[in-house]
Amino acid sequence: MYKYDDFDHAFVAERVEQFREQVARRLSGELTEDEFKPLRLMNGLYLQLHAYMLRVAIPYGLLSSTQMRKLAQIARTYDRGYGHFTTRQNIQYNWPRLEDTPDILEELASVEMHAIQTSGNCIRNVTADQYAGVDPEEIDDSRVWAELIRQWSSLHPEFSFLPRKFKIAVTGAPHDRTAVKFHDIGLIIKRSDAGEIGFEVLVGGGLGRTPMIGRTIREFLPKDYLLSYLEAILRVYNQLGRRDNKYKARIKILVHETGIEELRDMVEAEWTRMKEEGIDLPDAELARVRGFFTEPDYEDLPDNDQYLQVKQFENPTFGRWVRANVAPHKKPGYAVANISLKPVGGAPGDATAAQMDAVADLADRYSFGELRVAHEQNLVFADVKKADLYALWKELDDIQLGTPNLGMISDIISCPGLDYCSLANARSIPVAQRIQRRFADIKRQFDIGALTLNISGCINACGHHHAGHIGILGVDRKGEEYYQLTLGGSADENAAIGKIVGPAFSSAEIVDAVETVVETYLKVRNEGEPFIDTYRRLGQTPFKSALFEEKQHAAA
Amino acid sequence: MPLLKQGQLTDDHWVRVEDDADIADEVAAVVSLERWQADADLLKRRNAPVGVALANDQSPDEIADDLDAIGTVFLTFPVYTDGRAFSQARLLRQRYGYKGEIRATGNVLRDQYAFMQRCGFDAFEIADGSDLAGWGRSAQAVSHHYQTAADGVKAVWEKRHGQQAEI
Amino acid sequence: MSIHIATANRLTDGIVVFLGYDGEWTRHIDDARIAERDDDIAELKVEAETAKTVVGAYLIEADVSSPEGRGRIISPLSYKERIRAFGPSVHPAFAKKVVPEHFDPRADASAVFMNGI
Repeated sequence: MYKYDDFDHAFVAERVEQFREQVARRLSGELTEDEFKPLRLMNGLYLQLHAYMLRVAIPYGLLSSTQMRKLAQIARTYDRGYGHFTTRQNIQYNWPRLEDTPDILEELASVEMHAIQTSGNCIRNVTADQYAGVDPEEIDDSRVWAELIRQWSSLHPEFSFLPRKFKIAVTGAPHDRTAVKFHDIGLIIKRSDAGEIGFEVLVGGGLGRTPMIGRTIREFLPKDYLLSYLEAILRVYNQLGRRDNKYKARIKILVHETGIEELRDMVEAEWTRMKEEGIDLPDAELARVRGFFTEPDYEDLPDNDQYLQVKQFENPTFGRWVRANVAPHKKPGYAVANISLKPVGGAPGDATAAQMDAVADLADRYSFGELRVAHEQNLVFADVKKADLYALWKELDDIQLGTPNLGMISDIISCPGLDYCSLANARSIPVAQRIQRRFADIKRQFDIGALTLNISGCINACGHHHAGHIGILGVDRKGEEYYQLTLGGSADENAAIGKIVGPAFSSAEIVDAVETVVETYLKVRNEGEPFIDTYRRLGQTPFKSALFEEKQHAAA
Repeated sequence: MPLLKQGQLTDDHWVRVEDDADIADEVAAVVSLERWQADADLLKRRNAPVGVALANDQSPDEIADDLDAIGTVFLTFPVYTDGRAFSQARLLRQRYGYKGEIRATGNVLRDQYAFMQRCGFDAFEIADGSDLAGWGRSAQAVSHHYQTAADGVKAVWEKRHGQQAEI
Repeated sequence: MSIHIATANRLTDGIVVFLGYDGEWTRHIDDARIAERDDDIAELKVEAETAKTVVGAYLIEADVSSPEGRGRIISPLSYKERIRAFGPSVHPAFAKKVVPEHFDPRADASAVFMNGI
């Protein structure tokens, strides 16, 4: 993984000092809250429902065990002993004190971490594939490009006061695990016919009030021009993005209102000049950064699964964990292990300090001291020997991190909701927990199979509900928590926005409604057909019918 | 308003003149883009300097051909969150090679000072009673920049590999 | 009886507080200063919004009652404000220690604490 050099260290150290001074000026009253707010946001510090909230950047979700231990220590020392992993691969602390935040940032800087630009109207954490570097089908390692973009976007003088936040994702494999088509800029790594690496560039994806799928602005951008092309897009957005209405200020609205053709012309015209202006990096820097993302010291192992198969047979729960949570690895004898942070009844994406420390130790022993955070709010050990999977799983299971539910209905992606967030209209975590309890039977979950369920507590859609096979949106109806159900969303390369099925359900009704949807699916599916395929084949009709007409019929 | 240039408060020789007002002789006048477009020849022939104030939705392209005749360009931050002037300044300084004064007016905050300088601003209308020492510290707060901009300062990647920035 | 109280977050640590009597901000909602008449409400608003030790001040509507032997009880009307006043419903460990007994989690669908339906 990337290692800071003296410049990087100096950068974060100075940032800490600058913020320390800004906090002091705030506490003394020299800065008003109005003046301080954009400054604290650019250091990831929100004012939330119960307290401040600090969002720490985990660049493209990659962590060393040392960094994970530091995150645990911060949770223990400065917070209430836990943290929340987010849908953008970051971590959030819910109870920091403003007066402690300079010290927290200093602790983070000591392990090459920061909270720069995790909020505010600037370029946010660049996300990438949690299987980067190990997926057998990968075209190129998305982390290399995410790191280059991360540096370029840090305290960019021209683009720090954009119309609105700006999110970039990079994906490097045919199967997209980054929701790339729902980002302001999505970069899909491709190879040209001549074998060169480049990007298909998408703009204008997003969720929130007006969900949109990104449009291709350029089919193939040679890799050497990545930064100048990004600057061209950002400059056009900075100048023309709407600033009159917060809800129409993202680039997706600019794409929608201007049209992709005209926007492309503007960007290309700008880029024609920009690529001559010394923005792009020399080969030496591309090679230097790429050099950090080399393979770990793999052993040459036979691709023999016998031990694994025996263990799966002996221990059905382990067997399920392998089936659900373990993914193929490019190197024979190795596997990718997903660690679910969605135990039944927990808060999705949360981990205690003790669990974080334990995971750090496990990473050291089983996965070369590194791990990743997925945007589905789970953790990933990317380089585990197949022969070690059973031992690893047993240790995970001991600390409630062995739930075999990856990609299944209880692997719920959820924002913190009204329990924590002042923007929310309704609570999300209790709904997630009740759904998990309803579907707690693991055999039933396996029978249902792959099904993504996303919950957002408000239209800002931090739970990505539009992109879930089943999406739940919390709304406030006459002072009560109600929940709107959407179906058919998809976050991968077949990106789709879920459609609302009908009137919202009360808090008491929503779990039954989800169960009705699932039962309907089970009744109408073809053999082996996953939920999303059944939905695409049959549309909303059978589900609407089951939810609304049959109920009325029963009531009549 | 106090005018900050090169870290010091200095006298302001420029006078902002409304579209419908006469411009006195020998006044260094700053006019709107509309007036510049209507009266450019007249304004250039005067015995005194002339400057142009761009609204932040007006493109520097509009004056790009005349920059040799323009002594100052006023750009504006109607609220500090509106960052369009950063792009305008960088275009003027970096793309068009403008050598005159680029002035930040409007809601100009100390914590944006370094960003503004990097984009090519070299004059700042700041609030009364501003803490100059504090402004100085803010300007120095970041030693290393990850990207090239309009100020010709080497980006980190240039320092790493000993490259020359193209301005 | 519906009244108004002022709430904010403490500047130093972000903790939710309520404007009490004597210009002090308190963590205990039952100790909040109540305002009923329009002029009192306006005054409360100004005092809250100009306070220097807190941020994000605003007024909320609440019910106030005084059941016998229990002292005054203030209960925000909206469930959002109740969650804010008493703590996240999913982490009872982080709830304020002063959660009043009258707060029955099973009482209604919009009660602050749900022990799981």
